[in-house]
Amino acid sequence: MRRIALTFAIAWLSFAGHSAFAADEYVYDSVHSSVSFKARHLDISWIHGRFNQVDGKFSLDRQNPSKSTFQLTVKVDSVDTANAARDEHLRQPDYFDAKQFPTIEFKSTAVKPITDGYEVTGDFTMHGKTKSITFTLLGGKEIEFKGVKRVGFSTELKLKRSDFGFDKSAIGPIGDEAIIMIDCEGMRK
Amino acid sequence: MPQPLLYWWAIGLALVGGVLGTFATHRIVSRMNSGNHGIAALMGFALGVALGFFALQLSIAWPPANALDRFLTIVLPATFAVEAVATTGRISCRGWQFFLRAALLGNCGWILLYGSSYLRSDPGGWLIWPLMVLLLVNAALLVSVWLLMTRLMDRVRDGSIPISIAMTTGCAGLLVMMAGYLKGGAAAFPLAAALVGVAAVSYRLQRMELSGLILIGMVGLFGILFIGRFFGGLSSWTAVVMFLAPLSGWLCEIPILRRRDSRIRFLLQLMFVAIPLVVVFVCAWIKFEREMRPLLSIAAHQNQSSRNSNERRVYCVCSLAHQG
Repeated sequence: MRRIALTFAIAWLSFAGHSAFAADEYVYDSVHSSVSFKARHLDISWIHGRFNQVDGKFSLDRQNPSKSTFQLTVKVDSVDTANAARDEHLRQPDYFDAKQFPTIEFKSTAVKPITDGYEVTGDFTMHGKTKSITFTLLGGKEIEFKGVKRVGFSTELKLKRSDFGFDKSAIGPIGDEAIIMIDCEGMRK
Repeated sequence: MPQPLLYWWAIGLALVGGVLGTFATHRIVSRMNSGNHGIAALMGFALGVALGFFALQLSIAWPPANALDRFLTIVLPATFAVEAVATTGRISCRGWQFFLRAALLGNCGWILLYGSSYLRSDPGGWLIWPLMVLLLVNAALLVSVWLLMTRLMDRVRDGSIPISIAMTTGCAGLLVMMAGYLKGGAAAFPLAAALVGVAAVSYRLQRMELSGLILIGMVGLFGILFIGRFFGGLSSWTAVVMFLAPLSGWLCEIPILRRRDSRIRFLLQLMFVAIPLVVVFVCAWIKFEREMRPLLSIAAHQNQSSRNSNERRVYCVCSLAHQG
């Protein structure tokens, strides 16, 4: 009887301990986040744009950071470069092909803690092609505001359109390489 | 960016391929005394198109990744195969021949939309019933226009029908390019050029059967317009008007024109088809100038006010035509 009770107590403590240190789940706050990009135009200037519809979530395990996960989904249709004709052009098959590949997705596969953030590796899927990429995510400080816990991250990554199946003949005046800037806030109650 | 020299190279190669392929196949068929000269037109078209696409350096993925890939690797080859089977008499029953062709035409839309957001159940996709109705309407339109053009071909029996389809296909390619989809529009040029090459040879070889070209020509035109509408920036009314334009050739069948000399009828046939093409092209050009000009960084040095007033006059005509 004593043994059963002891076993039960150890099991309960283990479970409670695990719960206390489980990863914190955060939902992407689209109001206080942005996913933007820039690409060279004629190699003399930059064209800027953003995606207005982004969704995602991430979990942070502060005890075991390698168990943290990050996930982001971007709606390609929401591309916005402050020019309606250009936005429509970008949605077409010569560029993003929004009707065939409606989302850009990232799902982490490995997370490593570094000073001031994390080094995240994961599968980046764009234009029907998936490639493994690694980038540095800076941030991770949590604050509480009006009863909601918030944490923020920033990153910048460079990608080549030609690596993701974009039409090579459409790479000319607009450079092949694009710089993507992600500033996101996640929230949990 | 558009590459005019590349397009002309592809057109030239497709034209030459169409001519040489048709001649060569016709000679082989004649030597075999098979009497089946329809296959010469198909083989010439296939060779011309293959050479034209090769010249265009279209990067086609397998398995197909997008609508253009599906059109070039599935729809066109399937159309060629169906027409080849029907033309060579492998299937002698006309009912089965019609069934095969209709089955192909009825499924073109599904194949081209496969894997796209139109067929997905997520919120961005279309509801199933409107989509089914749309695809049925597209299939019915394609079958109807093909039947009417085949009927017209039986009455006219010269190269004007394939050439009118070629004109329309080439114009459709330009419109798709102006709407923003360069690669999709460029794919139309080898199709158009190969049709012209085969039609030109048919003028010399009187016994050559061209009815097989009608199906493949209409599927080519349909494919370019469908992709331009659903994946590019082509408007619905532009796509429909362009697809129906070859039917203008029926105006040559009115009694007063039917009695004309065959050469005059040939020219009238092409002229009647060209009229709606020109109207649609001018409207598309005005829209292109207005929307795409700043994106292409073309400086407007000309007298902007006089150009604007000319554009307004032509735009009114196009709007009236659109409403009509």
